[in-house]
Amino acid sequence: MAFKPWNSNKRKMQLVSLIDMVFILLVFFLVTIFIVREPREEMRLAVPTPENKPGRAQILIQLLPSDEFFMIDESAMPVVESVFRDVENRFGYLSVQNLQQKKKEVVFRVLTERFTYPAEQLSHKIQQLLNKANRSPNEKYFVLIRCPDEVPYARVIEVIEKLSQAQYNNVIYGCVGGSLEEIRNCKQIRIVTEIDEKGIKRDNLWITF
Amino acid sequence: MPFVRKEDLKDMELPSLIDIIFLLLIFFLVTYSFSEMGEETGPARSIFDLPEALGESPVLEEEVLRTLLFQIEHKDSKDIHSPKVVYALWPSLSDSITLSQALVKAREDSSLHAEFPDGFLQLPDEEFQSTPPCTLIANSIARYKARYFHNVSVTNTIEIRAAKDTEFRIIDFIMDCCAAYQDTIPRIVFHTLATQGD
Amino acid sequence: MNLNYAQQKKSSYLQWFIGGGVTLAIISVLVIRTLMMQGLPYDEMFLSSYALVDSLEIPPRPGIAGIIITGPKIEPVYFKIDVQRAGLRKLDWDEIVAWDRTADVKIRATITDDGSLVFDEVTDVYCPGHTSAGRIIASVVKTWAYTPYKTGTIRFWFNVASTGQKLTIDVRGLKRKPGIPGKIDVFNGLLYYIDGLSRRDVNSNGIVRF
Repeated sequence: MAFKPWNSNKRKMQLVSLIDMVFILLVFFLVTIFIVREPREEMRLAVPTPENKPGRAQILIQLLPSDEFFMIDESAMPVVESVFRDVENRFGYLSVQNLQQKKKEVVFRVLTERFTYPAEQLSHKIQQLLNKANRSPNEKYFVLIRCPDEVPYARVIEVIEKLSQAQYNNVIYGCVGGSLEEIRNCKQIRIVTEIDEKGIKRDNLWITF
Repeated sequence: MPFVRKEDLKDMELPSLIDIIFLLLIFFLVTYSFSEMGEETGPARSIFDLPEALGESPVLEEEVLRTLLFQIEHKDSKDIHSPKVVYALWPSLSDSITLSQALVKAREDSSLHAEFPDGFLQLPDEEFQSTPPCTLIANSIARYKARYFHNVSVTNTIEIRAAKDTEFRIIDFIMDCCAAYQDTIPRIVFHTLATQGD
Repeated sequence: MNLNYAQQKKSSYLQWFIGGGVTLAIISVLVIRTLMMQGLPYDEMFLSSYALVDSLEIPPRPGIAGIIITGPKIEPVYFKIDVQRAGLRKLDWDEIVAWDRTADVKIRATITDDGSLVFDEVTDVYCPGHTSAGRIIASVVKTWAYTPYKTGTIRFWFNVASTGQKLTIDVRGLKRKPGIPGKIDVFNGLLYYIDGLSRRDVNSNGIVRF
């Protein structure tokens, strides 16, 4: 009589099934990931509302209808000072009012010639600003974005999207409506020496509408 | 006497059971998701032409409306030259209303939507501000502010969900209406699509 | 044998129970999560285990009534010894003390446009009875030069025997140079180049009378 061994029906590990299960899990997670990704998520982007007072900013970005943009920061100050000195030397005979007007016209022309850039340079310029902001995490940089009426608002969002990539969240932005023509027709462009809340003296460019 | 072997006990095939469960799960997940994407509960979110930006917090599909939202889109979503229409979407305190439900309601109710006239960009400011859509926007913000924004708070926001090519003049007008209340409405929230590659 | 069979049967039921339980648990977690995600705003789905302090502040808002672009910092300048100048010599105080413990020397000098110190060793140096010390001090002080931000008269009084006022400098005769824009502040820095003299013994805003 032959008896089957007592532990003949001891279970062996089902390796094939184990591998099968692992693959099923893999497929499961792959499928769920792709389902979650499609369609693309909507996000909320908060932008401060404007207020009726002069807007202080470290950088001004004026979007133009022609896909270009005008961007000035503290590096424009020496240019403005030099233009003012030059105009005072050449047109010193004019009355105070006319001299102011002349300064405004010439400075506007020089600034727009020197600081207007094609759209392709926007990323590069903003990256330079972000690099500067990332080097000084304790400094706050406020960027004022002005957009003409006829320009699609998506261009503003594009600028904001780039600005919000600052490593230390020290680049703050605000957007208002406005055109380059408004700056050209402003009442006055002048340099005013002011002491800020930290006691630092600065030459600020005032554009008064 | 012949020996009768007891039947081998049938052990449970655990891996096979799990295989089948996960296969069923995947099947139902995939079929459920595809059926939802085909459903027409309003304009499909994935085709609304929002600009791209990485925002502060995601908006989940069919999320309950949190605050007054202005949706600006073309009257005919397939024709980019059709006039722009603004819809004022009001949240509901009593029962949760989603964005798409509010949009359906706004489409049916003529007091909750208005069309921008042709050539509105060339209109002088006073005329533009007295057009029906601007009146709707200003009145909606005023009523909403009177009802819900009693104190200055950074959480007092108005939301805008606008097609990419919406002219800034419209956005500027909404911002100016909010700015009239000084710090009471300090922020506007734009709906954007998460940037590619995220 | 019966015992083994019973054990195996028990073990088999246990496996069913555990396997089924785990599977049901996974499925129920997925189903509950999906239900939770319907309709709830994302940031209201999960509660943190600690109370979050509301630290939100009103963000800075852009202005529309004008534009003010912040300019560069206007750094002040310092009228002080210009250590970059060639020929500059340091006065060794210990040497002066060794020469003459009671040395009392006054020097009246003029700062020129380029910051040089100019004086006549005969008429502008006053050192009654302390001629050696006077000569040493005058020869060193003559090499001193300053940053070109002020011009005018400066007076020094070296009083070695004094306590607390071994050196007095009179800067009342100095004025800011005309070419410097008014917005730039000009401050006084270190006005002497001496080794071995404590700052406590120096009065940089004193009065020196000849």
